[in-house]
Amino acid sequence: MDDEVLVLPAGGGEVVRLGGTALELWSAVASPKLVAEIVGELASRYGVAGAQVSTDVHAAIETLAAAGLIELAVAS
Amino acid sequence: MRSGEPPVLRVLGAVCRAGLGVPPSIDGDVDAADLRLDDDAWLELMHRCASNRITGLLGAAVETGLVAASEAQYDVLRERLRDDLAGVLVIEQHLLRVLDLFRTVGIDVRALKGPAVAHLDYPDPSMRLFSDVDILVRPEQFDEAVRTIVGTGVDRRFPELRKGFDRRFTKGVEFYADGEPEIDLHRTFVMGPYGLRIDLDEVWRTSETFHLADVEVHALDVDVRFLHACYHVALGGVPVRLAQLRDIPELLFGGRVDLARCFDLVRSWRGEAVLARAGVLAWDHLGLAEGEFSTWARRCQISANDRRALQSYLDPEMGYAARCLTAVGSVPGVRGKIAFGVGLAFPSAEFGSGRHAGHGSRWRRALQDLRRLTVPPVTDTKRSEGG
Repeated sequence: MDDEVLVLPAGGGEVVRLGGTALELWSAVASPKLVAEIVGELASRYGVAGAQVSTDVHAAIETLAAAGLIELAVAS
Repeated sequence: MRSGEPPVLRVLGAVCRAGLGVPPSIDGDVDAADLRLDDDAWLELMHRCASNRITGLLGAAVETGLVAASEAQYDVLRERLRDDLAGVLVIEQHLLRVLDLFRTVGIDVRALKGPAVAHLDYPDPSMRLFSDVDILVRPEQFDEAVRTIVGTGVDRRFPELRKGFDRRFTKGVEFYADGEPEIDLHRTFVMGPYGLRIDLDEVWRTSETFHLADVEVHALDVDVRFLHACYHVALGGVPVRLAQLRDIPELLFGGRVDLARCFDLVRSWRGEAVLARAGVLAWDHLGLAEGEFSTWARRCQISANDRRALQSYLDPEMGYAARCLTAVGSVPGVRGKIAFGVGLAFPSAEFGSGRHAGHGSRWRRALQDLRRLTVPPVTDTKRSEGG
C-alpha cells in the first residue's frame, strides 16, 4: 500500500489522497524547488523529454495548491 | 488463539504478531498465509481488527504475505485502512493544535500512547492506529492546562471532585466537544493507588522527540513509554484492545528498552504487580514465545494487598469513590491523606449533582464496594478477544 499517501492540509480541510504524479510531486517538493527542476527530475527518472511530463506536473501542482498542500511563489 | 480455533481467530493471531519476528504459526500447524478466508470470514476479520485498532497491522501482514487475501478482500482492506488513517491524521492535527496552544502559554507537554508509539516504536506509523489525543502535563501546570483547554470552548467530561483535587491526586481530565477528537489530559498514568505511587519527577526527567508536520513533539523516554504501555494494559479498563497489547512486545523487541531500569522504576513505584499482569496478558493473548520479561512476569509474587488493589481497578462495578478510597494509603504525607480524604468525603456540589443523592449515599456506595474487595485469586487474563 505504498503507492499512495494521505495528506491533511496544516490549516484544516479534507484529507487528500495522493497517487501517481501527484505523489511523485509531493515527494519531490519536500524542500522548495523550481517547477523546471521538478520537471527535469521526473523526466530524467523516466527517461523522457521534459515536455512529456510537463503537462502532468503542472496539473498536479495546481491540484496540490488548490488543496492547500503546497504554496506557490514566484522565483526571485 | 490456539490450533483448533476458527480460521478467523488464527489469522487474527498472526496479524497481532506480524512483524515481531516470531513464527506466525507458533501455536498451530498451518501458517496463516495458507488459510484462505471466504468473504464473510474476511469481513469478520476486518471487523475484529477495526475494533481492536489493528487494521494497520492487517495491512502490513497482507503486504508481507503473512496473511492471504483475494484481490477483492485486499480492496476492502485498502478502503478501510484509508478511512482509519484519515482519522488518525485528524487526531494528529488536533494534537498539534493543542501543543501549539500550550506552547503559547508555556505549558510543558508529553505526547502519550498512540501518536508517540506509532512514530517512535513501530517500523511504520500506519501500523498503529489511534483515536484520541492523550497528553501528559506536569502536576504544577495541570490546573492552568485545564483552564487553557476549557478557554477554547471545550467541556470537561466530569467536573473536578473538589478544588485543588485534580492537581494533586487525579489521573487526568477528559474533554469533549461536538465534532472534535476527545482530549485526555493526564497528570499521571492511571487513577488510584498505582497512579499515585508513580514518581512523576522521574517520568518527566528525560524525553524523546518525534516530528509531526515539521513540529518537534516530546514523548516519554522509551523505558517510561514501555511502563506506561504496561500500566495501560494492566489497569486501563476492560476490554483491553489488541493494539495496546501489541505495544508491549513492539517496544520490548525494538531493542531500546532497558528492562533493568524498568524493573528498578516499578519497584520504586511499588508497581511490580502491574508490570507482571501486563506481561502475562500480552504474552498469553498474543501467543508469544517466552522470554526474560514474560518469565519474570509469570514468576512475580503478587501480594494480597496488590491483588486487592488490582481488583479495585478490574471490577467493573467498582465506583469512583471506592477506587479512590483504596488509594488513601498511597497518598504521600498525613496532610496529603487528609486533603485526599476531604476531597472524597465532601465533593463539590457541581461534582455531586446527578451522581448520588448526597454525601451519605456516596459513602454508603463506596463502603459497599470496598466490602467486595476480598483477596481474589491470581491474575485473571481473560479480558481481551483473540490474540
